[in-house]
Amino acid sequence: MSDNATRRWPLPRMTRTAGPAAATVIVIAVLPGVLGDYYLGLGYTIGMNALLALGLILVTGFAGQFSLAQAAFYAIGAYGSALLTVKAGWPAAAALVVSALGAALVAYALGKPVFRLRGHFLAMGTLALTEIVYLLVNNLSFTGGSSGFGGIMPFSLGQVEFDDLRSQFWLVWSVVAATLWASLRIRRGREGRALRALRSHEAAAAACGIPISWTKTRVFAGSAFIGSIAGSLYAHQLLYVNPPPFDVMTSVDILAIAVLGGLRSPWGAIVGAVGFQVIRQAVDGVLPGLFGAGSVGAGEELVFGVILVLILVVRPDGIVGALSSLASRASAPGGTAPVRPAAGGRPAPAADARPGERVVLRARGLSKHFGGVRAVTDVDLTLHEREILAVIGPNGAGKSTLLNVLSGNLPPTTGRVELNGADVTGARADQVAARGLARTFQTPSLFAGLTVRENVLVGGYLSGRVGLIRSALPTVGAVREERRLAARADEILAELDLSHLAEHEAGHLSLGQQKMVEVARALALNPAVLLLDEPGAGLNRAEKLALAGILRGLRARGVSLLLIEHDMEFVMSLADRVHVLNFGRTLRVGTPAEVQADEDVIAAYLGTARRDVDGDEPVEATNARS
Amino acid sequence: MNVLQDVFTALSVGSVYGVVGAGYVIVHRITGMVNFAQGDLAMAGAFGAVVAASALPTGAAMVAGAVVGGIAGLLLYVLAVHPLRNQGLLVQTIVTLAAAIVLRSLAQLVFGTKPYALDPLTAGRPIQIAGASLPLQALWLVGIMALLYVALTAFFDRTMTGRAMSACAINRYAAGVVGINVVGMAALAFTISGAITGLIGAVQVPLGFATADFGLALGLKGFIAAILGGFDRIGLAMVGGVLVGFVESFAASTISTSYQEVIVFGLLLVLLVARPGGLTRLRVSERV
Amino acid sequence: MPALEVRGLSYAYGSMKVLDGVDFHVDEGEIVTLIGPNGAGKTTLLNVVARSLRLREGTVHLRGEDTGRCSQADMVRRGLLLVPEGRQVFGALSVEDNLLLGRYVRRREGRAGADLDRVYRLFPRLRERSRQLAGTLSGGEQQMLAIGRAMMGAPRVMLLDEPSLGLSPQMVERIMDALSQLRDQGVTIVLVEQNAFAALRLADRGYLLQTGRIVGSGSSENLAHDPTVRHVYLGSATDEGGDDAGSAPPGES
Repeated sequence: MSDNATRRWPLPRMTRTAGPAAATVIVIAVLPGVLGDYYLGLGYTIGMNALLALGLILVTGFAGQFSLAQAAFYAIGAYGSALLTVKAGWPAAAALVVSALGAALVAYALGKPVFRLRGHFLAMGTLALTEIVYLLVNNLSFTGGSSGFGGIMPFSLGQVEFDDLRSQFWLVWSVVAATLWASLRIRRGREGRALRALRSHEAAAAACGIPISWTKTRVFAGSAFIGSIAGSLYAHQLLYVNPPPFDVMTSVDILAIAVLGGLRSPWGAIVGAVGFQVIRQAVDGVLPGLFGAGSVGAGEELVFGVILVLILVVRPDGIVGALSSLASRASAPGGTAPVRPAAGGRPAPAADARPGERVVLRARGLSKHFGGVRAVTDVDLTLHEREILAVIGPNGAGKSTLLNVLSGNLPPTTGRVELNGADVTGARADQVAARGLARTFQTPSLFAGLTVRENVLVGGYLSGRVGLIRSALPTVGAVREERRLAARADEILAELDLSHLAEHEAGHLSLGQQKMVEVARALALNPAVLLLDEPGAGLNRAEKLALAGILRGLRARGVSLLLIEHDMEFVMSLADRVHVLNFGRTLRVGTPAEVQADEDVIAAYLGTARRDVDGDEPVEATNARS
Repeated sequence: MNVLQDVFTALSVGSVYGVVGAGYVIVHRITGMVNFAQGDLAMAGAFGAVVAASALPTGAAMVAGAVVGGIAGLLLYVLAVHPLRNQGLLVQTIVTLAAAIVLRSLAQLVFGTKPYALDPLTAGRPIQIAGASLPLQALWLVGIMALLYVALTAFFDRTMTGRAMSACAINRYAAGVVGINVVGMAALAFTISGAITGLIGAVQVPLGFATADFGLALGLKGFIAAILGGFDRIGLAMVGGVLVGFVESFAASTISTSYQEVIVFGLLLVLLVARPGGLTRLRVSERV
Repeated sequence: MPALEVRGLSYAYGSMKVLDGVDFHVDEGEIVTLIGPNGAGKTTLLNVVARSLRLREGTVHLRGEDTGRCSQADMVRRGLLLVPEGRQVFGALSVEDNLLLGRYVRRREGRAGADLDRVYRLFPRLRERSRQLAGTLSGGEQQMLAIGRAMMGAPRVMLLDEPSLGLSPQMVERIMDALSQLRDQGVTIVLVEQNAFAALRLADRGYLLQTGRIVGSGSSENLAHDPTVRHVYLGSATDEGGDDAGSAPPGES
C-alpha cells in the first residue's frame, strides 16, 4: 500500500464526458449508412427505450426516487404532439416543446406534495398517474379512444423532414446522444452532486444548503420532459397513436432496462436498452415453440420479471455497475487511503483569538418535546463571535436534540432561535445553512460514492448558481463557476492537510479522516457559525490534538464554534465557555474551570458520593453498601 | 340512480379492497415496506381456488386459494425480499414490483387471458331490496372480511405469536431483546398477508371472476384502502376499502363506467397530495 | 467457572473502532459494573454480548460454554437477558403485555402467573399500573418495567445498560435497591453505568472503560477512591496521576 499517485486513466476532465459522447455520435452518423432496414428499425426501438430510460435514471438513479410514470409522460408527448399537429395544425417542433413542458408541469404538480412523503408513496402515485393517463386516452373521444388516430406528419424542423427510417434513426439517436451528454455533465456538475448527495444522506445534504424537496421535484420534471420528447418522436415516426404502448408495463419495462443497465450511470440506459432488445429477440425466438404463438407477450414479461428479480438480488447496480467496479478494482488507489500523521493544518494566526462581545447565535426558551418525552426544556443559550462554546451533559441530557433544533434539522416545540440577529426559528436545515450556519454529524455523514473533493464541493453548493439546465450545457459562466468552486475546495483541502485524499472515495477513509473531511465540507459553506456534534468521537489522541488545532485556527479566522463533546480533556482545553445540560435543562454555564469544580455538575455526571441526596463535597466516595 | 345498489356494490367489491388493504398494512407495520405484489397475491389465491375446484368442493377450494396465497407470500419474502434486506427499502420495493410481474405473466402463460368462474358458495337468487339486488356471495365477502377482522385482531392482541409480531412493529430492537425472531416474524407477516388476500381473491371469483391481470388494479385500489387506514390500522383499512368501493360504484352509476377507475385512481392522487394519513390522525409527511 | 467471561472483544462500525480487545468476567452471584464516560463503548459492549449486534471478534463464554454461534434468541433461552439503554419498552402495549412478552421464549413453560407475581412483588408500582400503556409511564416506572420484563425471561445473567439514565437520585436508589434484591435471589448482574458512584456503591467489582478499552479494574471500594475515575470522566487538570491514558497539559483557554 504505497503512498503513490492514483493510477486512474489520465484523461483531462472535459474529454471524459465529451469523448465517449462524441464516439456515440460518430457511431450514429455511420450506422445508418451501413445497416439495412431491419436493424435500423431495431436500432430505432433501442434508441427510444434508451431515451425513456435516461429520463428514469435521472430521477430514480440520481435522486433515488422510485418513479413509474415514464409511460405517462411518454403518452403526454405522443398524444400531445399528435393532437397539436393534426387537430390544431401546429408545427412539429412547437408541439414537441409544448407537450414536453406540459409533461414537466404534471410532474411538478404531483412531485411537489408527494416528495415530502416516503418513497413508496411516490411509486404508487406514479403508478396511478400512468394508469389514469392510459385510461383517459383509451376512453376520451378526442384522443380517438381505444383505436387512437392517425394522420400525423413526420417530424420536421424548418425545411428538413424526417420521413424515412434512416433519418428517424439519426434523429432519435442524436437526441439520445445529446441527452446522454447532458446527463453526464449534470452528474459531474453542481446539481448532479447535489442529487447524489441527497440520495446518500438527506440530512447532511440539507445541512449543505440543498433544498431537498425542490431538488427532487425539479429532476422529476426533467425526467418528464425527456419522456415526453420520446413520445413526440414516436408519434412522428409511427404516424399513428393508440393506447397500448402507454400502459403500465411500459413503465415497468423502462425500469427493467434501467436496472439491467445500471441505475447509477447514464450509460446504463444505452447498455440496458441494448441488452433488453437482445433478450427480447431471444425470448421471442424461443417462446412460441414452448408455449404456443399466443404466449409471446406474457412470456416476455415473465422473463423480464425474473431477470429483474435476479439482477436486483445478485447485482443491484446493473451491468455498468459491474463493469465499473471491475475497472476501478484494476486501477484504483489500492486499499484504504494512506494515513499520514496528522499535522493539524497550518498554524493559526495568533492575532486576536479572544471571543468578541457580539452574539452570533442565540436560543431563547427553546424546548423540544417528542410526544411525551421532553428532550429539551426552556434552554437559553448564547454563542459569541470567535467563541468556542462546549455543550456537555450526561447521556440523555438533550445535547444532540438541542443541536438538531439549532441547525434546523428539527423544528422546536417552543422558543426562538436567532442567527446573526435574524430570526430563524423553525427554518429548515437548508435555509439555516443559507444564513451561515454549518454543522457536522455525530456518525460519519460523508456522501458515499462521492470522492473527498466532491464532498467538499457539495459543501460549496450555496456559492454556486448553476442549475440543472446550465449543468448540462458548458456555458462560459457554468465552466467558470465550476473552476472557482473546485479551486476553493482544493484550497480548503490544502489548509486541512487533506489534499492527498482528494480523489479517494469518501467511504474508504478512516474515521479520523472522515471527520476531517466533514469539517472541510462544512467550511466550504463559509459559515459564521459551525456546530459540531461529537467531533472527537472515535478519534485517537493524535487525531484529537490535530482537530483541536484546526478548531482553534477556525476561531482565529472568525468562525464561532459550538461543540457537543464527551471527552472532557478535549473540551476543557479547547472551550472558552461551557454550557452544561441535564435532563434537557441548563444546569450551569461558565468557564471550564468553574464547571469542573461545580458540585451539581459533578453530581450529574458521577452521581452523589453519599447515600443522602443533598450532595456534600464529593472528593472521596464512601462505599456505603449494606 | 340507485344509491342502495351502489352501497351493495360497494360492500361487495369494497370487502375485497379492504382485505387487500389490510394485507398491505400487515406487511408495512412489521417490515416498513410496501408490497407491490399484494394485488397479485389475491390473483394467485383466485387461481389456486379455480384449480382446486376441479377436485374439491367450492368452499374447500377457496380455502386452498388462501393456502396458495400464503405460500406465494412466503416465497416472495424468502426469495426476493429477504436477500435484499441490506440494500434499502427502495430496492426491496422494486423487487416486489418485479415479483408482481412474474406472478402476473406466469398466470397469463398458464391460464391465458380469459376469465374463469366458480360456483358461489351458496346457491340461490340475489336478495332484492327496494330495487337493488345483493348477490349471496357478496354477503359471504362482507362476512369473511368481518371475520378476518375479528380473527386478525384476536391474533395480534391475544396470541403470543401475534403479540410478538405487533411487538416487532412497535419496537424492532426491543423485540430482538426479548428473543423474538424478527426475521421469522417478517416472513410470517408476508405469509399471513398473502393468505388473507388469497382468500378474498378466491371468494370473489363467483362475482368478479379470475383473470390473470386483475392484480394491478386491485393492488392500486387496495393501496388506497391502506392509505385510508394510515398504513397502520387494519380496521380502518377495511373501512377504507368499502369507501373506495363506494366511490367506484357511485362514479360508475353517476358519471360513467368507463371512467370509474380514473376517478378512483384520481382519488389516490388526491389523498397523496392532500391527506396522506388517510382516515387516521397520523402525520405522515417528513421534514425535508 | 465464571458465569460470564468475555475475551478479546472488538467491534467497529464501519471504520469506527468502538471496542478494542475488551476482557472481563463475572462470577456467579456477583454484581460487576462497567463504568466510563460516554463514547467509551459500554452500550456497544452489552449489545454484542447479548447479540443485538453480531459477535465478530472475541469470545463470550456463558458458564464455560462458548456462545459464538448463538443468536440473540439463543442467548435469551440460555438465561442472558439485556435491559437496554433508554428502556426500549413497547410503548403502545400495556405494562402486563410488556411483561408477558418478556416471557416470549418461555411461553410454553406453563402459566405466567408466578413469574408476574415475582415481578410485582419487587415492583409493586407496576402491579398498580398493569393495564396502563407503557408509553405513558414515567422514566423510573419504565425502567422498572424494563427490568421486570427481563426478569420474566428467568435470567441467570442480567445485563443492564445505564438504568440510571434520566432518573432522579431517589429513583436511582430505588432501582439499585431492586438490583440488590435480584442479586440476593441469585441473578448475576452486569451493570453498565455512567453514574459511577451509584454503580460502585452497589457492585462488588468494577471495570473502567475508556474509548473502547479497559483502563482500570478492581473492587468497587478501590475504584471509588481512585482518582483515575474522576480524571477519565471530567479531565480534571488537578490530577496527580500521569497515567498512560494521557493527561493533557493544562489547556490554553
